[in-house]
Amino acid sequence: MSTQALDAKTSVSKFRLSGGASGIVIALIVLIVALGVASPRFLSVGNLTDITRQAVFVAIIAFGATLVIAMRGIDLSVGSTLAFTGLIAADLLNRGFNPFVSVAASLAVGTLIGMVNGVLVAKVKIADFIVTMAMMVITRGLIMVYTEGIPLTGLSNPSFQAFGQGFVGFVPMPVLVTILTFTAVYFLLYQTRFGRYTLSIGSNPEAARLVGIRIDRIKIAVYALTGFLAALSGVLLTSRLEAAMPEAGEGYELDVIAAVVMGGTSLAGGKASLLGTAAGAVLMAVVRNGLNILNVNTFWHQVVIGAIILLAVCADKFGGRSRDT
Amino acid sequence: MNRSELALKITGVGKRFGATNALSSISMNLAKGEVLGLVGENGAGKSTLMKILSGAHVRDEGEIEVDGERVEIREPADAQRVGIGIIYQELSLFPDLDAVENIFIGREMSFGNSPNMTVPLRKKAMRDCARRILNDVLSVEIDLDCPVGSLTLAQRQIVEIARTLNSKAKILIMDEPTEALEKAERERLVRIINDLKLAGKSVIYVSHKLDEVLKICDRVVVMRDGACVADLPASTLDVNKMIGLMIGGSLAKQFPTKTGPGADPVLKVEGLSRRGAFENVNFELHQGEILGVAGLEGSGKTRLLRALFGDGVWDSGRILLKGRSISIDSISAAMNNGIAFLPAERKTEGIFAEHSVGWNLTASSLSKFGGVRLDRRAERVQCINQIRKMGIKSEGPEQSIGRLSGGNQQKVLLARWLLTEPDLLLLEEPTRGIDIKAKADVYQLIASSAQTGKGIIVVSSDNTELLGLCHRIMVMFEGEVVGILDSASASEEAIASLSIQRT
Repeated sequence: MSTQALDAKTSVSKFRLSGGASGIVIALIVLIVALGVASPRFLSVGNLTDITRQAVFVAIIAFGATLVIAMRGIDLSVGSTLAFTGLIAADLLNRGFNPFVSVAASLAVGTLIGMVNGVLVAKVKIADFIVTMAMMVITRGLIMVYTEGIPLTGLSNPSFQAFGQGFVGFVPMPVLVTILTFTAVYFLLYQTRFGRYTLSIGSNPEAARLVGIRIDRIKIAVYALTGFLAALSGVLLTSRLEAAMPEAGEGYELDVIAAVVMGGTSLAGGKASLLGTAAGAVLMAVVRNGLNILNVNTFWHQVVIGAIILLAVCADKFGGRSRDT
Repeated sequence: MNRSELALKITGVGKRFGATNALSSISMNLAKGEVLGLVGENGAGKSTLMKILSGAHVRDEGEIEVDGERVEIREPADAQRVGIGIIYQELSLFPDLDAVENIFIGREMSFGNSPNMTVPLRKKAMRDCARRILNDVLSVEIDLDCPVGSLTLAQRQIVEIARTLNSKAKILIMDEPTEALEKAERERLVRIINDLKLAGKSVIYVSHKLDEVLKICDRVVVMRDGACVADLPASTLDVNKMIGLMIGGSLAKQFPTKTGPGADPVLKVEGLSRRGAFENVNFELHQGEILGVAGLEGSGKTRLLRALFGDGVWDSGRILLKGRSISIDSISAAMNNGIAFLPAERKTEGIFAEHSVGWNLTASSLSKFGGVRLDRRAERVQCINQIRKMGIKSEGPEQSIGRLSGGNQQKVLLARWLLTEPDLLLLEEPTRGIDIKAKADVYQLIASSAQTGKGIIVVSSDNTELLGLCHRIMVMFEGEVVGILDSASASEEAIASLSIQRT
């Protein structure tokens, strides 16, 4: 999707898929058709809604993670941040705060966690893997200290419930939020200097520095954005479950990375496909759902998902050589 | 020539990449103890041929004979086995390992010469052997204990040569070995090549530095468009003849005519010092002037240039830009003051390889295109203009920059900085690794931007380039300015002797 940055001449080309993204979209369609044939239940409206609901929590975070990975970074703390910020929203609500204040505070904390990650990576220059892994463990630990492992429930505020459970027309609220997030991040990534700089840093950090890009600022902002989106996902999940689960979001960091990489964004940085990421997140949800519907033993789910990730990355690696570079 | 005197015989070798014929039916010989120069423009097929010999590419047709025997070279290990060693343009050493470990990498000596990788290594024997190669064969002193990453570029290259010699190679391929070397180091390399020749080794010397090729080589093969167009003794050639053969015509003129600089100073540097880098540097640069900076590696010339661009601070002294004292504590501060900088390493410091020509072109001037939302239409128009103005050969702004030749990439990078409309343009090795025609184009572009009133500083290790392009040449030695020469009256010898020691 990089060269499309200059394709202002044709407006249709704006949503043209990059090589990486078209691969995953095809895989996704094949999978959906196959599952539809295998089980009539799969294509029911109820089931499709379930899949979408499952996908959005990973997708929202993965949009931010796409920028992080395109910048040659990594963020392992997103799952814990999701749970931590979800807990903050729930706790404030239970203490009688206005739902909007609770949500705003939760989003602010998520952003702050991301900023701390960013500062430690960009200014203190600690490896991103270490920083975000430590952050993952610390926030999860704080959740356990506060909740003692017991879910926080009883969130009966109707406007808070509407956030995760409501509909606008026939579109579920979380799906709407996901679409809005996608649009905003898409704009940021492909239409602004910020996006251009993010990709430049991933493409060649030294050259980026020598064209005057303030690398540390961009890095901090990208991690902050990812923290914000993790919190957004956390609030949606808490609202949908009407509870803040201490173990919420466990393993999300891996689902998020898998969605991004399957979508065609390279871990080597420099290129990003946001549409691919969205498809990747949906694919993960479809696979999980399909395995359930086909009554595959849950212990096998992880094996299948791991294999699919490897397959997707291999396909990208070997199929990717011939695509436009 | 007796058949067994031939170290290498190539017959009818060809190679295609997709639809393009990279090499068509190349035949050439290399005698034992001969140094063969291989010259040609970028894309003429020199590298492809060398990659076939070293096993990086596999030929489509033709035969290769080493010592009179037909050989199959399908991968680098085959080339090593038959005694072909290549010293790459981009050094392929392990920077964290020391010289001994690098020289023996892949062929370590273990007790009993066991193929078992867990048998202890004979460190002392390897060290002695490495020292023997370095001291006796190459006659150089290199610290065997420090990681090669902390050696100078020239020393690293010597380690690489030692590694190739240790592999018992009979045929050494050197691809642009002197491109990044200073004069004294180049002379040492010439001596080493002569010694190798006397020891009966054969050398294929690939280079753009034609005068050097004439000096070092016995015979010269000229390639153009994937074919050999000449195979002549060096004694019958001169630089102009070679250029004519390479480009298939004659080059009108390499350097543009100099126009006199203006009277107004653009830059005044007073007593600029940074401990351990440069000391008490004073000079003035006028509008429309091109100032060259010469000096050995480590003379402080690049660190001075980068300091002017806000990359690294200085301890004392001041900089006046158009009469105004400015502080440059960061790259963005330098850019805000109208300073631009073209770095030497195009691949690692310049281009964004995954991205398009247009993307690369506007990377340092995006703020010119719209506010929050980038105005990509304006950007595209500007790119098309620049591509035309700079004479960049490309399919347009959407083409990936990786597909462009080095010379065209360099023009894109130069355009990137000219787009920022700087008052002061700092250029570091502006023509490194690009072919003759592109060099002439780049010189022309530099000269015409000087004519628009910019001040330009060029750091280069190519003294011919400095003399041909610049009005004045400042020579540095161990961090100090040891002389500022007028290029009309200066000579390469004068620059060289100032660079080597203060007289």
